[in-house]
Amino acid sequence: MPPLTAWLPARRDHESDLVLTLAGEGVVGLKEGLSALERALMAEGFDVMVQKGRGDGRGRGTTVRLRVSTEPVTSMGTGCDVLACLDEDMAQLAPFGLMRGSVLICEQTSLAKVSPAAKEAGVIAYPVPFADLGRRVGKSFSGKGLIAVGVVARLLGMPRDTVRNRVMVEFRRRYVDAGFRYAEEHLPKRDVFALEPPQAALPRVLLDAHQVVLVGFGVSECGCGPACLSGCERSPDEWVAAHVSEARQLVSSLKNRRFPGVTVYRGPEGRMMVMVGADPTEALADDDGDRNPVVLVAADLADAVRLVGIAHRLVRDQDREVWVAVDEMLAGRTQSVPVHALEETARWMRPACSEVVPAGPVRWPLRVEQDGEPGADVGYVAWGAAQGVVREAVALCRSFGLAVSALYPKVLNPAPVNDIRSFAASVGRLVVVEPGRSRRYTNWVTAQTGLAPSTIEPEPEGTLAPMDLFMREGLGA
Amino acid sequence: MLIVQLPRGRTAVVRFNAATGWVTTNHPGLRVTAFKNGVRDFSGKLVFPHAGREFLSALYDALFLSGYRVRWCGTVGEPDRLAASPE
Repeated sequence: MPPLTAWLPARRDHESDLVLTLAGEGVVGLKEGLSALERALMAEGFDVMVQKGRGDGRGRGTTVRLRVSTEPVTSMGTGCDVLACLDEDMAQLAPFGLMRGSVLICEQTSLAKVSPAAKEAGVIAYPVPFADLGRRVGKSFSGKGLIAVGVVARLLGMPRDTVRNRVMVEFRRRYVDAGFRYAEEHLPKRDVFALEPPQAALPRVLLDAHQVVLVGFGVSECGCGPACLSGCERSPDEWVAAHVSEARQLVSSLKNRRFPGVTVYRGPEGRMMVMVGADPTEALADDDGDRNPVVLVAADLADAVRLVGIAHRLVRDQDREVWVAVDEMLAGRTQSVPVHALEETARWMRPACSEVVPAGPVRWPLRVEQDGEPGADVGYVAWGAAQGVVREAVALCRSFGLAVSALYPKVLNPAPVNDIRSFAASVGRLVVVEPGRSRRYTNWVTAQTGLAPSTIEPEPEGTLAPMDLFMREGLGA
Repeated sequence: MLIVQLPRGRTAVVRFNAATGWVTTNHPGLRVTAFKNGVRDFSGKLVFPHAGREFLSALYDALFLSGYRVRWCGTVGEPDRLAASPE
């Protein structure tokens, strides 16, 4: 992949868009440091998207990927600009997607173990004595993750206090200070990456998938009345916390050992279910047909907020059973959600929450979004988080003059058969973009429509990136 | 003009306009690093954007020595060596 990016056309570069990855096995302080960094970045006005997982191809340790941008983004992007690899063993750097000019922050003693190929590839390495710094700060807590966050903050030009003051425990802030100070005194900057905060930023809150779902439930039943929305505008974090807390009293959450990583939230009437981390096609297959629920699939966390609101209205106004699916990729994601998105959903769900008369009933079926003109060579269709990947891939393909289209359905059941069939008829080749390797959506499209689409799926142990679609389809592969 | 290839298919462009003497860039990272803090030239002297072509030359050296693929293009007005964004 790296050599081919050399001839990509120049894109708009007045915006900041960085991908940072922090990886390590059993790294002390990583979760805490990352939380502070995420909130600091959002407070500076950036759009933040975070993906946690073990998608580094090694199947071990923790890898957290942050995408930081001045413009809204819809996927985790491709490759990596800055990697903080906190393991002793750094033999496997390839899965992280480093390229010439990427930054590698690593333990000083581990740098020697980096393969010559990585060094020759033009990666800019900054060795940091994490273990030594940790010992100097405290004996019982190594704080490597917090030190790494301090180093990253300094290298990116962030004010120290913006990050360190967001570490909750006072003595642990010293680890952030140690990393920041070390980078300031010993790491002359040789890379070009730094964050320039936007001039004007929308107010945002940082939410994970579970908070998004619970906020939706909480708003549907809150007793705040007309003051609800002004509370959201005044103090969005407190507003979210209050509604999450209220929702926990109202909904039941279910887990089953048969489906590890899946949490199902059931609404008070039992007519609404939100599945976090689930495969909606599998859930539909398990349904014996009596319930025939409406199944909505969220494309990102901001979309999940909206769909939970739509689901509440459908249950209330049309007496339908509704399921909302937040897929496995989104289940591991944290994202900055604009406050206005929460306000709009709250206003729409609860007329009592606003002095303004809300919009009319839900139009059914939900409109399928289509992007592109008829006659495109390739037409992508995707559900869930894969839609964000497709959006960026479509922009990339079009920048090369490739004729591509995309269909973004929100509904899985009732199946938008006519929309998919007419879209397929309008493009040269229909391609289903899968978030995993089970081909579940391809099989579902075939079963529902009788079509025989192609499939794009991620590599084993990997996740799909916009560049993957371009490389496989844009070049006629 | 300098064109710097960055990871993830991005590029940074740095332009010197001889008529105005200004050096500008489209890259936010460069604006808050090299442009704000200056760059050391080969002799160790710290050079700032107001030095014009001298700054451009020092920046070229610094980026090259850091391992970036950087290209020195001709005068302002010459088409970019990379395809322009359709936007």
